[in-house]
Amino acid sequence: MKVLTVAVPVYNTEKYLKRCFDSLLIDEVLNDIEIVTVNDGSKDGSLALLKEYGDKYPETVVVVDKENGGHGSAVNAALDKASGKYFRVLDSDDWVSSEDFVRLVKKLREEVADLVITNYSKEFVYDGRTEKNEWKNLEDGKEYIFDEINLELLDKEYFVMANSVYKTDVLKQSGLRLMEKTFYVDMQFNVVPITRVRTFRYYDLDIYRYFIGRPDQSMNLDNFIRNRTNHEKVVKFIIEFYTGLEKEFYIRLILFYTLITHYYIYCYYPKKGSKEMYKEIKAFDVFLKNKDLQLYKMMNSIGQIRYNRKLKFIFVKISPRFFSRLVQKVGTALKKKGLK
Amino acid sequence: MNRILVFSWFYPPVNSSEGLVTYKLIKASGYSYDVFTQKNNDLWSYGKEDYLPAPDNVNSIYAKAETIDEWWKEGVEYFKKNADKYDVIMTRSMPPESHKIGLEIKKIKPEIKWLASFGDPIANNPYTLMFVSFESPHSRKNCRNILGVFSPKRIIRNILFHLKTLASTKKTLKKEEDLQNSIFAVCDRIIFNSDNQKEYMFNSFNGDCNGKAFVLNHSFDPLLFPEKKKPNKVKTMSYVGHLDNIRTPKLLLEALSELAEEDKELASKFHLDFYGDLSDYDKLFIMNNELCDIVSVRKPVSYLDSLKIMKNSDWLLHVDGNITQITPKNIFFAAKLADYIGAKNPIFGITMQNGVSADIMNRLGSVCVSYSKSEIKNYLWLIIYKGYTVTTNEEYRFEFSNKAVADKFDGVVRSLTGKED
Repeated sequence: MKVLTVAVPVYNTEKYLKRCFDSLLIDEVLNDIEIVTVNDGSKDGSLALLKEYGDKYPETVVVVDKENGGHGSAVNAALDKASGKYFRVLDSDDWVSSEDFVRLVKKLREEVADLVITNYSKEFVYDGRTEKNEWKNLEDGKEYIFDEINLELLDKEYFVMANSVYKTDVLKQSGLRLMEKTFYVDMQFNVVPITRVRTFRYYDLDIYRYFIGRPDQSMNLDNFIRNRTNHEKVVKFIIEFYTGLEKEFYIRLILFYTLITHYYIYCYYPKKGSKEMYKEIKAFDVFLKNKDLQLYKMMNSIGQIRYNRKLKFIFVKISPRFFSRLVQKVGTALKKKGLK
Repeated sequence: MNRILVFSWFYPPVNSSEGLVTYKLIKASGYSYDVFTQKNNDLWSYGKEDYLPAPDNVNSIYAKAETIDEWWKEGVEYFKKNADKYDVIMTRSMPPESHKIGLEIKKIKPEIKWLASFGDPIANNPYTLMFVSFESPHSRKNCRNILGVFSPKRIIRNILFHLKTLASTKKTLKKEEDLQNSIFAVCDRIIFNSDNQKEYMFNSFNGDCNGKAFVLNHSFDPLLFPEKKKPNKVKTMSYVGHLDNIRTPKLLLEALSELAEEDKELASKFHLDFYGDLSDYDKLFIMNNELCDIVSVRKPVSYLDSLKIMKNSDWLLHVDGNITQITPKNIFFAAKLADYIGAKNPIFGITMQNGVSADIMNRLGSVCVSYSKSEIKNYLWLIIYKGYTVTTNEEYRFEFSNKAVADKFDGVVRSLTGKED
């Protein structure tokens, strides 16, 4: 049995595939890993390149070719094919640190935890910067019982696709099916399988390299605005999903940060106000209040959201950026005078 | 057909990237050439001691001039005396003065066919723009407090900045743009070295010159490379050419420093050689991080010696400057890259994600990384410890041979004259 399945969803990333595969295909772990790469209806030369890898490494690389269904559908397809003991996702424009990856695979041979977490870095290649995301309070190599952890130990971080390696059985038993043709489904990946996790272990290895090629990519302002209904769809899914679960405390943490992003899409990013967006955010706010009052109230700890609510989101219609800057300036001034 | 007259300030034995590009191209061409050049001034060149084999189809005419200004005027005079001998001329920059000759010649003999071949852009050269600041240090934005905003001293300084410094910079840039545009408008064929360069240079041109434009790769001459010697005991990577604060191997050195930290025996496994200039910052980094046993900075070498080094290195390092703040695509196709391709050794390229070098190296099958220390370190690790290598796309490699490029060039000449060579 293979130790690890690496799912590589591919959509029009021909120019990045070499870097991605070069980082994984290391002789000493070839027998331990299985790369299930799913071509999600690419229109460039990605499929031909994947087939070359498949032909060159028939025992390691499994190529699945399917019609375009979005990132989520490609991950689902890879999970269906996965035969490794553990499973992780590597987006095809990202890569792994080969040295640490080899170390991880060797550790996974004897691993028993339901979830293994590592560090990851954001690589801002347009200006040569690296931003490392590491678990400062966790102990290298230690196994933790999920239900016994103190959230402070996680230091406002949570388990995301880039830092998580799940037991394949755990993923399958959780019933994880990412939504098709929908953006932001990685949030589902962050939430759904955690319900089945009893133990997790942390290794101080810097595995995942998250590629950021353009200055606007990390924030993806335009994309957030364009795909905001997708964002709402996934947020609502998580709210529905987590209510009443045992691990509610942890998922609420994830939801809290996700909701901040969701409100910010409306209350901060647009250059000009929009009547449509005004209606949407008002409706969403009512939905949240009715669905989960506790979570609704939690969001008031964020000034932007609190003031927007008090003003009934009127500035979303006029100029969210102006209002946002005003709130920030007033907040800073009050802070200086010790009035806040 | 008559001989083609080429104007190029640089041409062997005064070697520079521009002159060598011309040399390799016309050497393999089916046409015969007179090259109006000079050998009195080797400023900005790689020196004038390197005598390359003289091609049978090329005759060099050396100007008496010692400065560029005298040279281009002498070039015009030469043409006036020999106007009947030529139907086609080619002007080759840099420097742009050769194109000024073309503009003058077109006035003297309008029916002559003129090919203008460009190295770097004359106007809006991203490398130049990186150093130009259009923002006044005395602008209102830079005021620390409200008093500064209304300070008469600041206001006067700001006005003076706009009137003097900025106006003069803009005037120079405009002059360069006018020269470039007039060349585009008057010449009969424009030769670029990449589509990215063409796109960038046409951005500031208001007409439609697409029909005149041709893209020709820089080339290598297989006959100039020596035989490969025995394999190196230690895996060797070499960089040949100029480096500075923009075109810097900083991230590579940082990655190497991390590897050296993890492996005290690294020097017995890997060596990096720089032949040519390196910024003081990078030299200091090498010393401060005790990398001297892994990295050597050597004196610049002659062109033929550089080919010898390329042939005998296990890996060839290519570095492009990060000019993302000026243009999202790299427009500079370094002529050295063509020689690297000719050397047939694996290339390790550090360049912008998009642009000419990335396109070439990706298609060729080289290692092509961007400005990420982690990505660079990962490939170094694979090369040093895992014996990683690349498979070159041989068919594509051939497209950079001077024969293949010269065949295309001859086609451009034929399209212009309608005559066979």
